[in-house]
Amino acid sequence: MPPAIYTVDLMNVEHPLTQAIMAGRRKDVAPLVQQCLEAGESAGAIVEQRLVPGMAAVGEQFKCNEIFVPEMLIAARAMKEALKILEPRLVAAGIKPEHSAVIGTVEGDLHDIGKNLVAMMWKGANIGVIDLGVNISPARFVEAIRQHQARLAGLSTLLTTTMPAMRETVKAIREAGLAVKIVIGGAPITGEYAREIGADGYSPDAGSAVDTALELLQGKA
Amino acid sequence: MTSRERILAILHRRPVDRLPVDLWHTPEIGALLRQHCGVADDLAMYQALGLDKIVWVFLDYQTAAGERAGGQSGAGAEDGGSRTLWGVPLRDIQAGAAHYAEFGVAPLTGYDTPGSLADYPWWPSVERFDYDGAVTKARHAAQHFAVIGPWVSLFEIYCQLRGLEQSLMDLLEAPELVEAILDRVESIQTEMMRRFLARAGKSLDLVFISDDIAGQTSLLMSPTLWKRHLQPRLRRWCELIHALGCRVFYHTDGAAHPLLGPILDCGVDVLNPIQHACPGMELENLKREFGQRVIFHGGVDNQFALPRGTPEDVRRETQHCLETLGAGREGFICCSCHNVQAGTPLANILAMIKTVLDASVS
Repeated sequence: MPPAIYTVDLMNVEHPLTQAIMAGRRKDVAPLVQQCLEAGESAGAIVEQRLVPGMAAVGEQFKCNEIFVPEMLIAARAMKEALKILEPRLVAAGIKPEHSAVIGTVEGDLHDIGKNLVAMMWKGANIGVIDLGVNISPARFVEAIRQHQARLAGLSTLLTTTMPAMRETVKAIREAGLAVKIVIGGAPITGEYAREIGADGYSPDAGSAVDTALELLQGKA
Repeated sequence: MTSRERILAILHRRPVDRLPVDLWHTPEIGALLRQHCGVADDLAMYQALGLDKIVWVFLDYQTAAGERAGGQSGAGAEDGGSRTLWGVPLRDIQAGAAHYAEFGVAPLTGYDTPGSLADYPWWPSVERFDYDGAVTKARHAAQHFAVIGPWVSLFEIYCQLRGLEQSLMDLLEAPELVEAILDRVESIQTEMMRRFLARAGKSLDLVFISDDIAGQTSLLMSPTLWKRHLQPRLRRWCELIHALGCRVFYHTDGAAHPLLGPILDCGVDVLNPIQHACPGMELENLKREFGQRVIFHGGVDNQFALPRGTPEDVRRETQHCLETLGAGREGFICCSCHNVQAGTPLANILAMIKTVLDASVS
């Protein structure tokens, strides 16, 4: 069955399910998803019209310092509750996210909260995300990008001592000739460093990472 | 002036011959600098380099199993065993040129109610800290240097015990648990500080409160949550430390500006490390806004200038810190903004020190 045609309105956050996700009310989510399904909304429409606007609003609030990491974490967890119900239906209907991404923290670095937040926000923008975890070698990035045919790769690091591993990872991905956009981030990372090592984009925080990803995927950057 | 006299003069806002220069470094950099100076121990190295080192004296801990646990719970503790004194497992990791002890699985995972905390087997006993060993170290160091210790923390230890993401969610979803864990974390260290500060006497100048509440671009939690769970505890510690005759050195990385006023209101005397690459942490503004009521420690960028810049970049960066945070030749102890990491060029470290030493003649 082809996916239904519907309009995504990121400004429409009034629906109770959207509100529950924004407020991180995890326990309210499952019944609200069921209500949407019973009202005849498709799984794909619920993702695009109820979940995506909610997580977009969370990202905006985070960028403006209206909310902080704790609020973002519980919103993402509420979104996961919804996806638990919706993903099997999406798979059954043959619906895949339009874009897929691979994300990980580079070799030598075990820090993951920034990477996890970006993964959550990308999922919230309906990008399929394969999270490789931490301490990921350049070869594993290359292999995963190839295996999952990812169009987007996210590389994270916290430490200045592992910034060279980020450079090596970008180099390995380029040498493998993969058609993938590379976004980097992490505390010591700057746009200048992204240009220096040949990455396609840089994000200072998880809210902006969605904008960066979508611009790259849609060919605007 | 000796290094100790210079630091104490800054703390008391008395005139100095020049601004002091301190250095924080990882074990690899310590080894590099000892080799460069041709000396065997750190204190001799600090003297040879002309550093006004504020010497860290953190308390060792003997676990019930007889294992030695490091006196600093932070990752990178040089002298840790396989667990911190709070029972947090440590594992070795090679991160590029650096070697770190990173935290393993958060040991309070699954202890989700205040009532369950009594079952946790790793709560430290105040009897097991090595007070005498630390007093000996402090007395030795205080002959030439100012001395700081012990290392204490509230939310950083909470995050080690529960894991970072869970801890941040606990703040919103389990406030009673947050309070119950922090009550234990606070009271154990309060008693440890009482015992140690009474014994260390005049050999100890500062106590190190480390409680990171900000990331690179924003606070880690809302001001409301910080004020609810952490502010009263920080205020109590500042009052205790002052009553016991020491000053409070407070560490938070990151874009902490929205909470700096309330943090200083608790009674913090020295603020570290002033990560001015972060939004809201511009040096001129901080000096203007807070310079009358706090001493700044740190400043010299450790994400670009020191690890990846040229000696000239470091000289310019250090000069900028001296002219802003150190305006009027007061209220500032120049230092790397956190530990200088393995792989940092020796010439860059020496450039930072030389820039401060040379400023004495200008």
